[in-house]
Amino acid sequence: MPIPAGDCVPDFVTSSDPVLQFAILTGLVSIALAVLVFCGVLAMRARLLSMQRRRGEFNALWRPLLTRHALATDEPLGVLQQVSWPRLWRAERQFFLEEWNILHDLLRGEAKDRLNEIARLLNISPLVRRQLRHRRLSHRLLALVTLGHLREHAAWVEIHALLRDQNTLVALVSARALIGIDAEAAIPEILPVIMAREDWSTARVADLFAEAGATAVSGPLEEALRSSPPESVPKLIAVLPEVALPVSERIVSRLLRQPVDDRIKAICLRILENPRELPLVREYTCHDRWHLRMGAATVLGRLGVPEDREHLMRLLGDPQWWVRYRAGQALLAMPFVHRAELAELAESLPDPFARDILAHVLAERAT
Amino acid sequence: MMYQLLLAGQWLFLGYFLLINGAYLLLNLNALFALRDYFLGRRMDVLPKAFSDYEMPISVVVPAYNEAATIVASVRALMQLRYPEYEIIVVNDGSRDDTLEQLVRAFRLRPFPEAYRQRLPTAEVRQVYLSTLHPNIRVIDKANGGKADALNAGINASRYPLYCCVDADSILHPDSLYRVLQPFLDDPRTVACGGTVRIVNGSTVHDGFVQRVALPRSPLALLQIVEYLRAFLFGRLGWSPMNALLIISGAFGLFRKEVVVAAGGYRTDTVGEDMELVVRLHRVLRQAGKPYRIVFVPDPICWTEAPEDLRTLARQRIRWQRGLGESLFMNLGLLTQRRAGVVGRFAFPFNLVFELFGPLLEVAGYLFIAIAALNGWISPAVALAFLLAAVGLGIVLSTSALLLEELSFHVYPGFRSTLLLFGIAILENFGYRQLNSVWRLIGLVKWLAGREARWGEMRRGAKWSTTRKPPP
Repeated sequence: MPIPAGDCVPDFVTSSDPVLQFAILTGLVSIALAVLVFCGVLAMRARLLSMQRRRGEFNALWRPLLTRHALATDEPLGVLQQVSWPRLWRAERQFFLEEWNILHDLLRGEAKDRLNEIARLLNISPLVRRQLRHRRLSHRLLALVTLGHLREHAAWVEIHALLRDQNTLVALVSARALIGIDAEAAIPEILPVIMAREDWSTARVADLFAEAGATAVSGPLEEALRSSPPESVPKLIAVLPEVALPVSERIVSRLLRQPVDDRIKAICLRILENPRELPLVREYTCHDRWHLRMGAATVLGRLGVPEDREHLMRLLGDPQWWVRYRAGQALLAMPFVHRAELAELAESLPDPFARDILAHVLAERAT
Repeated sequence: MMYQLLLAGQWLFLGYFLLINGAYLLLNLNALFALRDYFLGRRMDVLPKAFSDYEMPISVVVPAYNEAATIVASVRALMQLRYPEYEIIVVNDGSRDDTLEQLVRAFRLRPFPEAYRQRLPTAEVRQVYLSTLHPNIRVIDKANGGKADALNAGINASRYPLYCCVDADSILHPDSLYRVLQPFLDDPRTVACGGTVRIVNGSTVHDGFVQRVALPRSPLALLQIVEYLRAFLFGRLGWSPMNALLIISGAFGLFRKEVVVAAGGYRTDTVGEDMELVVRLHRVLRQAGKPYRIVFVPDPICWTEAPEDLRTLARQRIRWQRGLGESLFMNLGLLTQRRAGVVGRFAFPFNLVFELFGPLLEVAGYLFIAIAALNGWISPAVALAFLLAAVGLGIVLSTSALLLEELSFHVYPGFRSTLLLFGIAILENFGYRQLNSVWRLIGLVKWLAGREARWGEMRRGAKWSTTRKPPP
């Protein structure tokens, strides 16, 4: 309340001015909240520091132990039974699983077997299988990864059930675990899930295939591509160029002739290896969609015959930079086209865009 | 009459402080949920193979103007990013020092007959250089046109579907590209993603990466750390889930190139080109009815040096305010168009009222209280009560940002850091925020008056950075 001139200052504590009361209340509540937050943060920080200290102590003890015994591949596995392993406390289990899995991914061959033997001696498997049902997601994920590394066949059914889990990570990690246990048995189970799930990116699917290996993937993948309608296999098609898996030419040729999504066609062009399809590829050099013209240019560079030079020369003047660029690279890749010939063309072509792009690819090749 | 005016003034200012701080607290709450969801998806990071080897290639565009002292180290650091396929395009924007010569020498650049496509208009591109040592490094040498112009030139030269704009002095985390890419993989509608920018002052940087995080000694830098957490980290994270993020920092952001080109690239007639682009993307994509997302990742993946002197800081804040005004007013259509969504109905007016014109009310509020108290229109006790409310609310906001930081990344180690940051969070509200309001008011006035804002030059300390000697 404003003070009339000449009057004394009223006692704000006993003032009934609602604005004043509200302001004071706001201020006091704010400060009280801030103090509460401060205490909460201090408590959290104390907990964090305690956990970091315990982790440091755990690593100091276990990391050298695990590393030394995993890498001692000149010793028989039986020696591991003679080792006096420290007791693994409940609070240390997650630390152990994390360290063990990190080592597992870093090491190869017999070292992995030794790590698995260590896990067996410490009775890790039943513990981890129980952890599949833990309420914390991070614990469940860690359990899945561990079971995959352990190649724990006994957990197959439980892990398989998680392939269709709502959580993307759980499903992906389950697939990885199954591949780790038995890649050849896992892939036929995983392929339908790949086709059904929208939340598994191409990159993650490529990771799964790479991990499983060509031997495990090729056959079931071929069968899936052959038997499923094209619209339901875009994810399988998309990943093929990344993982360089051999795929039947018949499937690729079939897809190129069918009215499928242009993305599928573009991918088929990338992996096409059959020279008998050149007439079809030449048709694609006139397609409306530039990325298909670009794909066709690349195929002609890979598989083309001398008459295909004309198609590529035409594409050097395409309105799209990427089409011109791939056409230039394709010309350079053709074994019967000489560099000197292209250098001359780069000077003499009437189209400035064509000249520029040829000069560009020639300079790139020279570096 | 006087009484009515004073009463109205008191309610107005009290109401304003309640509204703005309440809104930020709500954003912090939203940020809390966003953090929880984010960390759920990030659980695999403790394990190897957290990232794929088959990610989309990225063009990293680095505009450079008079960066001779640091550009080589910056590019070398970028070369060490952990990512399967990316190219680095440095755009030398008519530097007056020997930025280009440093690059030519360090990376054995030679002129390259690039078939350069000018999809976005820029100042003259004089020459494109290609590194003979590292074929994924190119340098565009062009006439000076400003940062926005340099970014457009970099976009023109980029080969990949995604480009990442990085300031020449930004310090990235080795996994920065992976992290900022994840939203694009999680949701193909994503067209832009920003990363958190943290303050590097006080930390130890070696060979272009942060080795040890620590708090700076400079009080000004300390204040900015709390401010960044409050306003830039959790404020933005709060808007992101609602697809209402209006700014992605020019220091680090990943964009879908074709979307940016279709929208016209960066505008060169504003100092807030980073914000203006994002606001425009919202406007044009909403207008076209295209589904899209513009998001934010909270990971501390980009570090930058904050000004440690008042003059540079003031210039920066005045420029930011001007950029804000330009970005909003160049895209007023977002406010009024039919398909405005949360960004047009809430984020835009919020920024207009509280961020752009808010400083007017804030400074007026403080002045009002001071003048009224000095003239005896209100008692000193009343004045103190108002200040208690305004400052108290500010303290809650600052400390809630520290709470979110503790729940998520707890980047600053030890108890001492926690205590110091709390002290700063309180002190921030006794002068620093008020000073910022004054600077922002100056920026607002300058923008309204149509005065040109200049980037100016920042006094760089970088006392904490070390590098290996380059190989002979």
